[in-house]
Amino acid sequence: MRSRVEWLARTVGVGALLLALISAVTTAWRVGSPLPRRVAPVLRITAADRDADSAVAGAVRDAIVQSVVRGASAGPQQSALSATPTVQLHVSSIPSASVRAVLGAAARAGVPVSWQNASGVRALAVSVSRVPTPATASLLSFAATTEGPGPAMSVVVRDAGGILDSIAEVQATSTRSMRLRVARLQAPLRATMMRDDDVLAEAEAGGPDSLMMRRVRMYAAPGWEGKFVVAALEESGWNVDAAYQIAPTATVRVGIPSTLDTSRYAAAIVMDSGLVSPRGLRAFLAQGGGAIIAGDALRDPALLALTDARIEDDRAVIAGALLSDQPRRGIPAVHLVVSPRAIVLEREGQDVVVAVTRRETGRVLVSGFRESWRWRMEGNDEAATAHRDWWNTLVAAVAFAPPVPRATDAAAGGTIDRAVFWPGDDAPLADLVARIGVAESLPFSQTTPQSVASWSFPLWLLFLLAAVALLSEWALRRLRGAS
Amino acid sequence: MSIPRAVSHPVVAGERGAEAPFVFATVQYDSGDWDSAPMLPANVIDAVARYTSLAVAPQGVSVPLSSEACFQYPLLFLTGHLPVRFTAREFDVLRRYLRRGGLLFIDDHNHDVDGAFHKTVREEIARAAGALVPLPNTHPLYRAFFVFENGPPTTSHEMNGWGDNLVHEQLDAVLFGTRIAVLYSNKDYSSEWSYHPDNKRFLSVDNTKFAVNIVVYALTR
Amino acid sequence: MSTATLPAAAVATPSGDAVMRDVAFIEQMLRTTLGVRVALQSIGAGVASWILLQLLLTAAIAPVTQDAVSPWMFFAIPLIASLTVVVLCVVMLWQNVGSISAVRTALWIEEHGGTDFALVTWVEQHEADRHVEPSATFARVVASASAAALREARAALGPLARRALLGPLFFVVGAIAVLVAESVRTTIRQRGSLVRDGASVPLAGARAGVPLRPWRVRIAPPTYTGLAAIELSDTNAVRALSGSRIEIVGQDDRPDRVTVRAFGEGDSAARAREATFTRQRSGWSVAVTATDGPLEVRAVRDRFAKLLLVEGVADSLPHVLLNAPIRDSVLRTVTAPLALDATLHDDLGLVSAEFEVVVSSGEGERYTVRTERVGAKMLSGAHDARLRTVLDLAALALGPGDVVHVRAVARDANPLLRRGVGASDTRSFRIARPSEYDSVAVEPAPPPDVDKSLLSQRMLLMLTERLDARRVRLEAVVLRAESRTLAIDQSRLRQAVGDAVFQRLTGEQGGEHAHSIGDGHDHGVEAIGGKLALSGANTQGMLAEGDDAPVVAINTPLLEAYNAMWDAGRALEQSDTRAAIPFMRRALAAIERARAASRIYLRGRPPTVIIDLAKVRLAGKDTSAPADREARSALPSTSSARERRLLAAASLAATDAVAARDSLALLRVESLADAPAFATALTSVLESLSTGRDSADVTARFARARRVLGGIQRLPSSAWSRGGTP
Repeated sequence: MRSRVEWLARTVGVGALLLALISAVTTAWRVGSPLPRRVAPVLRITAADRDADSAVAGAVRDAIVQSVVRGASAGPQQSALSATPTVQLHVSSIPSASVRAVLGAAARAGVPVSWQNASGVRALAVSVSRVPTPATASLLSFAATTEGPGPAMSVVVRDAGGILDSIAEVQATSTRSMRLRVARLQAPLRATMMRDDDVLAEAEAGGPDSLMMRRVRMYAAPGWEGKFVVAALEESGWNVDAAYQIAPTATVRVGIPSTLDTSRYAAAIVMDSGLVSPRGLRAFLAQGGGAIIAGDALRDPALLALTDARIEDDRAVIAGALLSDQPRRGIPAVHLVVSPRAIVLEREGQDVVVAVTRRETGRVLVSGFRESWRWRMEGNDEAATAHRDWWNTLVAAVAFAPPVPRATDAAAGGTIDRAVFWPGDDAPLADLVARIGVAESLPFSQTTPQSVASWSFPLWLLFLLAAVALLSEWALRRLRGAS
Repeated sequence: MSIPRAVSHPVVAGERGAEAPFVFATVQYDSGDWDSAPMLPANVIDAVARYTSLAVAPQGVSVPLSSEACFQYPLLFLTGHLPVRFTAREFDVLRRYLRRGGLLFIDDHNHDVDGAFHKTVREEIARAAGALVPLPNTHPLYRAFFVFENGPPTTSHEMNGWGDNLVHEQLDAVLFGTRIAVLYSNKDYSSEWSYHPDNKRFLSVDNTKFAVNIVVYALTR
Repeated sequence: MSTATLPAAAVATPSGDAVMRDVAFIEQMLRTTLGVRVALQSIGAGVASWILLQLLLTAAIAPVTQDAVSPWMFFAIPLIASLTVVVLCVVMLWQNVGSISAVRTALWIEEHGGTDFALVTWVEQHEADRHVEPSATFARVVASASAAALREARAALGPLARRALLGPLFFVVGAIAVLVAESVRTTIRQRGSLVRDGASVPLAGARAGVPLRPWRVRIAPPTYTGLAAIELSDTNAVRALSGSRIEIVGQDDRPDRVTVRAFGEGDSAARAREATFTRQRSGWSVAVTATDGPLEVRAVRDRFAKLLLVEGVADSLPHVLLNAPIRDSVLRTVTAPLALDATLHDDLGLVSAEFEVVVSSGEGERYTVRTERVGAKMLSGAHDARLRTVLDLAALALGPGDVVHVRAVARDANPLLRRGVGASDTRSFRIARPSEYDSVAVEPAPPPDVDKSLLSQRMLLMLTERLDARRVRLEAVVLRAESRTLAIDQSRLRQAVGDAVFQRLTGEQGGEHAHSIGDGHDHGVEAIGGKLALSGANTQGMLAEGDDAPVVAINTPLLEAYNAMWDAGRALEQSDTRAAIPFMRRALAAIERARAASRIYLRGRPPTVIIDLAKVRLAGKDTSAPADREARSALPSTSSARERRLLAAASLAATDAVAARDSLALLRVESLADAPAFATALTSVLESLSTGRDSADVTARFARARRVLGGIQRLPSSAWSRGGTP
C-alpha cells in the first residue's frame, strides 16, 4: 500500500510539472503565433487587465514584435496586409497609462488597432489647479459622462490621503461634474469611475503648480469696512497695502502703498471712489492684475464701467439673516445688471450680487455687498471665519498669481511634455482615442471573442501541487527507511 | 432701575461716501451709573470732527450691553462710579463682542484704585476676556493720530486730591495678539472730557486729543 | 593419531572468536558514533526550531496581539515545539542506528583492506547459525586475511567519529550560543541600563522585545471632594477631576521610562517630563496628578509604547440663580424688608453661601461703598441648596440717592482661593430722592461745570499755603512776584466761576458771549465793589435777557465763591498770603457746597447735544503725525498640522491598527478645546477602529473627519475657472 501511495504521489507530482510545462509552452506559442486577420481573436480588456503586466499588454507587445519581424522579412511582392497582425479590443474598462502607451505604440508601429468601447464611459477628466491665496489650497474639477443602458455608475475622487468626495449614482447617458476646494491636497489625485466593484476608468492628476503670491492693494476710506476687510485678508495670510486718509494732511499707511503694478500686487480692492484713478486701474488690468470694485466705488461711473455692470436697485436688509445659513442677505447690498459676457458668482434669487468678467488680460469682480463687516460682528460665532473665507474667495477669483517657473533640462534638449502630445492621465478616454483612434460603433465580425488571459492555467497551482506530491513521496520513502 | 431703550443711531448720510459714519456708543449696563458722563460723547465727536475728516455721526448713542445691538458698534465706551456686575447675558454679549473684533474703552470715573468700580470691573473683565495688563507707553495707540510721547495724557482730575491721589502712568489693556480688545483707564477721562464742547475755546490746550487717537486706532487697527 | 570429536564450541579457533569480537567491537563503536550524531542532530534541530519560533512570535505575531500574548507563552511555545522536533528527529533518525548490523560492519571493514569478502562470509555464517561449527581452515584463512583490515578499521574509527560528530556538534554549540546571547541581551535591555536618546519612540514597532502588558489605573479624586477612588482595568483614556492622583500599576517588568506631557490650548509642543517609578513588591507603578487640561502619559519599553490619555476636568464654580428679587427697582421708602431667595448647585458639593449686599452712597465724584453679608449658611457638601433670608433695608441706614446692590454668592470645597466664587446676577435698588417725585417739571440739565473750579481752587489754596509757609525765608521781591502770579490765577478762576453762576434754559452756561458785570444785561445780580450781589427784585423766577436765553437759576453758592475769590485775589495782589487763605478756604467750601447741592437730573436721558459738524470740521489747530499701522499676523493654522496627522494615522491604520488608534486618541484630546466638531468626528473613527468594522466604513469615517476639519469644500458649479463663492 505504501509503495502504491508513493507511486501515486510521484505520478501526480511529475504529471503536474509536465502540465505546467505544456501550459507555459502552449501559451507562448498561442500568443506568439500570428493571428490571421480574418479570425483574429478579440482581446477583452476588463478591470483586471488594466495593468502593464496584463496578458493584453503582452499580447499587444508580441503583435508589435511580429509586425516588425514580418515587415523586415517580407519581400516587395508579398502583401504585408495579409500577414500583418491586428489587434482588436473589446474594452470594458479603460486601461491604465502603461497599457494605453503600448496600444499607442502598436498603432504607430503599423499594427492596426481597432476597439470597441463597452465600458459605458464616454468621458472622464480631472483637473487640478492651485487656488491663488496664501494658503496652499487646490481647486479640483472633474466631470464624467456615461452612455448606454445599464446600471448606474459611481465616481470616487481621492487623493493620497483618502477619499475626498464621491458621486454615488451617475445615471446612464448623463454628465456629472463636481468642483472641490481642498485645503491640503496630497498628490496624486485620482477620479475612479466604477460600476459595482469594477473599475471602468480612472483619471489621475499630479499636484498643481506652485504660484507666486503677491500683495493686495486696498483703496478704502477709513471706516469699519476697510478695517475688517483688511483684517480678514491679513488673518488669511495676505500682505495688504493701504493708505487711510484720516485728515487732509494725515494718512495712516498699512504696508508700503505703491503704484498698482503686477510686479508687486496680485489684486486691488476699491471700496470708495476718488482713491484710485480709473486709468491706473485699467493699466493694472492690462498687465493681468485683478480688481474688486465694491461698496461706494460702485457709484463712480468710471470704475463701474470697468465691471460691465450697472446698479439695478438697492436691496433691503433681511432682519435675522445674519444668523441664518444665508448671512449675506443680512448685510446691505445693491443688485446688479451684468453684461452677458460676465460670469455670475453669486445670486440672490434671480438678482445678481457678485459677478466677474475678464478685462483685457486681467479680471474684474464687482460686488454689490456693502458693510460686510456687519456679518463678522453681528453674525453667529462662525461668522468671522466665514467672512474671512468669503473675502479670500473673492480675491482668489481675480488675483494675478503666475506659476513658479520650473527649471527645464536644457542640456537634454528639454523634456518632452506628455501633455503636449497626449491628454494623458487627466483624461484617460481622450488619451486612448488620441492614441488609437475613435472606437468602432459596430461589433467586430469575430464570432467567438476570446480573452487571452481567460484560459491560462494558474501555473502557481500546478507548481504547488507538484511540490506537495513530490515532498509527500519523499517523506513516505524516508519513513519507510529507504534511501 | 429700569433700562431705557437704546436709541438707534441716527442715520445721517456721511460727508463722504454712503457708508455709515462712525457712531460713538456708550454702554448701558445693569448694575451701576453707566450714564455718569453724559457730555463725554459730544466732546469726543467734536474732537474727531475738529481734527479729522472721518465721517462721524453728530450725536452719540447708548446701547445696552445685554443687547445684540452692541455688535453694531465696534467701539464702545463704559464708565461709572458704582460697582459693576455683569449679568450672564451681558457676559455672553461682551465675550462674543471682543472675540469678533470689538474694542471696549473703560474709564474709571472715580479714578480710585481702591474704589468699587475699579475692583469690580477689573474682576468682571478678567472673567469675560482675560486679565488686564499694563499697556506700554510706546504702544502704537499713542501714535495713532497725535503723538503722545509720554503715554496717556494726564488729566487734571488725577491731581485734584480726589480718588486715589495718584497720577497713573499707564493705561491697562486686554490684548488679543497685538490688538487691543479692552482699554482701561484710571485717569478719569470721563470727568476730563465732561464739558460742553463749546467751552473748548477757553482751553489753552485741547485735552480731548487722546480721544481722537482711540477712535482712529479703533477704525484702522 | 586418533582424534575425538569435540563439541563445536570446543573446536572453534581462538582466532575466529577474536575476529568476531573485533567485529562486534567495531559494530558497537559505529552504533555509538551514529547514535551520538543522531542525538546531536536532534538537539541542533530542536534549538534551531526554538530560535526560529521565538523570532516568529516576536516579529510577526506579538505586534498585533501583544495585549493577548503573555511572556510565558514566548517561552512555552518554543519549548514545546523544540521538544517535539527533537523527538521527531530521534524517532526518524534512530532507525539508521538500528540498521547497523554485524554484516554491514564487516562490509565496512572490508573497505579498509581487501579480504575478498571472506570476513563478510564468515560473519554471515556466524550470524545465520551460531551453532554451526565453521571449519578450522576457513577460520584460519579469515583470521589471517582480516587481521590487517581489522587493524585499519579500528584505526579509522577515530577519524570517522570526528567527521561524523564535529559538524553537528558545532551546529549545536552555535545554536545554543545564539539562544543564550539573545536571552542575555533581552535581560540587559529589560534592566534598563541602555541609554536611549530623547526622541519620541514610535508606537508599537516590529522589532524584538517584550510588549507592555495590560495595566491597572487607579484614580483618587482630591481629598476635598470626598469622592471614593476608583480602579479601572487596562484602559487608554480616563477622565479625572483636576487635582486627582492617577496611579498606573503594571504587573510585568518595568518600562524603560514613562513620560508625562500636558497640552494647553493649541500647544502641542509642550515638553514632556519623566515620571518617577514607585517601588512595588511586584511590578511597577507611576503616579501623575490630573490638571485642568488633557495629559498624555506614555510608557515605553524597547520599541513598544503604551498610552494613557487623561482628560482633566476642572472643578466648576457653583451655579447660583437669584430668584428674588426679580428685577431692579427704585424705592421711595426703606421700611419694607426685602425678601432674598437663591437656588444653588455645585457638581461636587457646596460648602457655604450668603447674600452680598453692597451699599453705595454719595453722588457726583464722591461715593462711599460698604459691604455687608446676610443670610450666611454652611452647607456641608450638598449638591443643591436653597438660600433664603430677609434683608432689613432699614437696618442699612440708607439715605436718598443710595444704591443697594444685592447678589448671592456660594463657595464649594475647592481650597484654591484664586478661583473666585460662584455668583448670581446682581440686583440694584436705588433709594429715590424726595424731589424726584415733585410735580414740578424740570428740564433735564447737566451738572454745572464746577469741577474744574473746585480742582483749581484747591490747588491755588495749596500753593498759597506753601508760599505762606516760606514767606519768612523769601525776599520781598520774590514773594511779591509769586503772590502776583497766584493772584492772576485766582482772577482767571473767578471769571470762570462767574460764567457758571448763571444757568440758562438751554443748558448753556457760558452762552455765545461771556457775561460780565456792566455789559448792559440784567443778570439778576449787581456788582457792588467788584463783588456780586443778588438784585433784590430778581431772586426768583426767570430773567428775560433780550436775545439770550433766560436765566433759569442763579447758583448762590457759586456766587458766594465768586465773591470770596475776589477778596482772596485782592489780598494776593498785596502779597498778603495770610489774609488770602481764609477767603480761599471760604471759596473752596462754597464750591463744594455747589457741587453737593442737589440738582434735578433725569437719568438715562443725556442732554441733547448735537455737534454742528460743518462748523467744527477741521477747525482744530493741532497737527497730527499718525504712525503707520503694523500688519496683522496671519492666524495660525492648526488644521493643517492636524490634517497631516490624520492622514498619517489613516495610512498607519492599514498596517498597525493599535498605533493608529493611539495617534488618533492623542489628536482627539488635543482638538477638544478649539475644534470640538473634529474631536467628535475622531471619536467616530476611533470607535470604528476599535470595533473592527469593515475597511469601507473606516475609510468613510476618516474622510468625514477630514471634511469636518475644513479641508474639503464642495463649490457650486461655475463657469469661472477660479470657482464660485461658497
